[in-house]
Amino acid sequence: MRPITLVFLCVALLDLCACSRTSETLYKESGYAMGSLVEFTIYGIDEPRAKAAVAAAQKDLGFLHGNFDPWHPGSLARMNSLFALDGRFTAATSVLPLLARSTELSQRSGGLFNPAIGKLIHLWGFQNDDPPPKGPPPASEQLAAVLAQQPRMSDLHVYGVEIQSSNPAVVLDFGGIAQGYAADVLIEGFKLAGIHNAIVNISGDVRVMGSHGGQPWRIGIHNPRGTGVLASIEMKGDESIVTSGDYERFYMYEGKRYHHILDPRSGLPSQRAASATVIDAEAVVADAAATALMVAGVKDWHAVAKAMGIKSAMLVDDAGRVYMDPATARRIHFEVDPPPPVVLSEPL
Amino acid sequence: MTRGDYIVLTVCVLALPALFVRYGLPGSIGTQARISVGNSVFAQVPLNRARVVRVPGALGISEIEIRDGQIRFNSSPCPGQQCVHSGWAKRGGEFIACVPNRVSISVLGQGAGGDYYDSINF
Amino acid sequence: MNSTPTTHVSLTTTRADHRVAWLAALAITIHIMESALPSPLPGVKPGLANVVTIVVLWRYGWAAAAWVTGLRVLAGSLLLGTFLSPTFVLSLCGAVGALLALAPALWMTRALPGWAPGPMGWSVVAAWAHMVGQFWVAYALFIPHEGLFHLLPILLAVSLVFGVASGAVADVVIKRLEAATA
Repeated sequence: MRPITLVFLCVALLDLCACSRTSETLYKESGYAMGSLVEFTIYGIDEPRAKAAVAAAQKDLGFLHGNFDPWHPGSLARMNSLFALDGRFTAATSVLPLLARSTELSQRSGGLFNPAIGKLIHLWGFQNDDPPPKGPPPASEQLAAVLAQQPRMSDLHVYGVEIQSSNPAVVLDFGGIAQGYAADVLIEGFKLAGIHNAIVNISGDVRVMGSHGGQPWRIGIHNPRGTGVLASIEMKGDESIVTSGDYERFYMYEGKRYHHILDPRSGLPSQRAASATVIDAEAVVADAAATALMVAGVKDWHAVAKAMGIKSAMLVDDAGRVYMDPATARRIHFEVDPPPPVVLSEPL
Repeated sequence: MTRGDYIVLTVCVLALPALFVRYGLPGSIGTQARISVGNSVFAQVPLNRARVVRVPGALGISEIEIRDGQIRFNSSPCPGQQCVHSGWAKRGGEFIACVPNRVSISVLGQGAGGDYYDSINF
Repeated sequence: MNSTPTTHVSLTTTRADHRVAWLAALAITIHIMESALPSPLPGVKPGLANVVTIVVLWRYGWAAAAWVTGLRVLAGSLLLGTFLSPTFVLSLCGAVGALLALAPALWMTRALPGWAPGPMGWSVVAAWAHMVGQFWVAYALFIPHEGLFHLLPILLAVSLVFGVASGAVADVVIKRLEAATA
């Protein structure tokens, strides 16, 4: 090969790579909003419109976060302090739709997804990101005292825009559902803005819409044991995928891992799975179900998923074994070599 | 042709598949990663040259290691250490972030396929 | 010595010098003819001047091969108008790479008769070393982009094919020459 042609060939190929990247109308923006990592991916519209839509979405997200944060002054904090008093009061209307979804999903999960246990979360200190909790874990008497009061979503009674709690122990913490709900809201906002192909990723909770120029979106699923990506899945149309895992927020105390997904029955971090992944049309459903399946664990997940109307789910246990239904197994593509052992369930 | 000729040819023919595995076809592997601090780009680094990058974030220095086409957080001043536990990333679209220190790594895809992953569920 | 300002310089040339000059002229001719040929693949040329290097190495040793190659690169670039351009630098580094790789190959052939590579092996070694030399300088001086490495396997695969081709030609030429001078 003659040298000048080598240079031309190299330059031509490099240009080809560069061109194919820039000619795509894919717009990606990521950043930090309200303490969580948010990523927007938009396909098929020009950059100024995509930028404007993302700016609007960031604003919406800030509003939602302010409304759903139970631990700082705001709508939900006010409601939580009023639940402790016996009486009807006017609820924050921005919270009511999420409250209604939470109550319904909590019921269907048999109480395994329970946003009324804010008191337990507070005892563990998982409401704090900055600084994160270090342990020691709370005393069992403290946990038992809260468990004895049995805070549940059914303790809340909604009358139009008014609300009353029949249990003073109810403290709402929407940590297991708010991000999924927000992802759905932001996608609806994109639709109104004329965007039909997008991904909203809020702290790892992924909601997709449309496609990547006719190709499905390819989503990587984090490996709860080991590193990087465990598997990938192709998604198209209105779909979302949410994973709850014991790696997301935890502390080590005397060699033991204490993570943020609490079993409402024991008041302790759930121990029956390392992660639970749920695929559903709505991210709000997937988010609540992922929390519930994480608590249910590898023995009971199937029954809970059925009760919640979930059609696709995958769990990973402490040893790295993967549990899933056959439909999910057909869609999942493992990205680790060798692939992990799989335990297939009955169809969902 | 001598025996030596056959040896040379065999070595070359055997070396080619290894070279394809090592370097890949043009545009088949995500070879660059973008390191960001907050919402701005700190550096864009190739993944086939081993090195350690020290990135100043909100809390302190995040140490990022690049080796064998992969990239990871080596150490971080954050309390949770989730970024360090995330391990290696290598394919276009993979993403690791240290939220407390505001340092993030995204692997960039190359070629017509773009990123291998469009988003990461974690 | 007289006091006139004109100085008469006479160069004494040996038979070996003449031989190098003739062979270099042949290599340059092939080099230039090849640069006018349309490429079989976009950006790929066979490098037939390699044949001359191999034949010279076989018959007259490494020093003669180095002279012929060096003159070919220099005069070829002057005639094509690429002297001191990037093309020239790439060409030079390829040639240096090939000659450096051929030195141990020649030593092996002399030290291990029967087991060491002949013209075919040399040609392949030279083709790869030429490519690696060019590639290294292209990366170091002109395109320090890591994406370049993705091209290396393809470039080496193609140069292996052409190395075998010129090795076969060199083999035939050497056999004919040996038959003619025997």
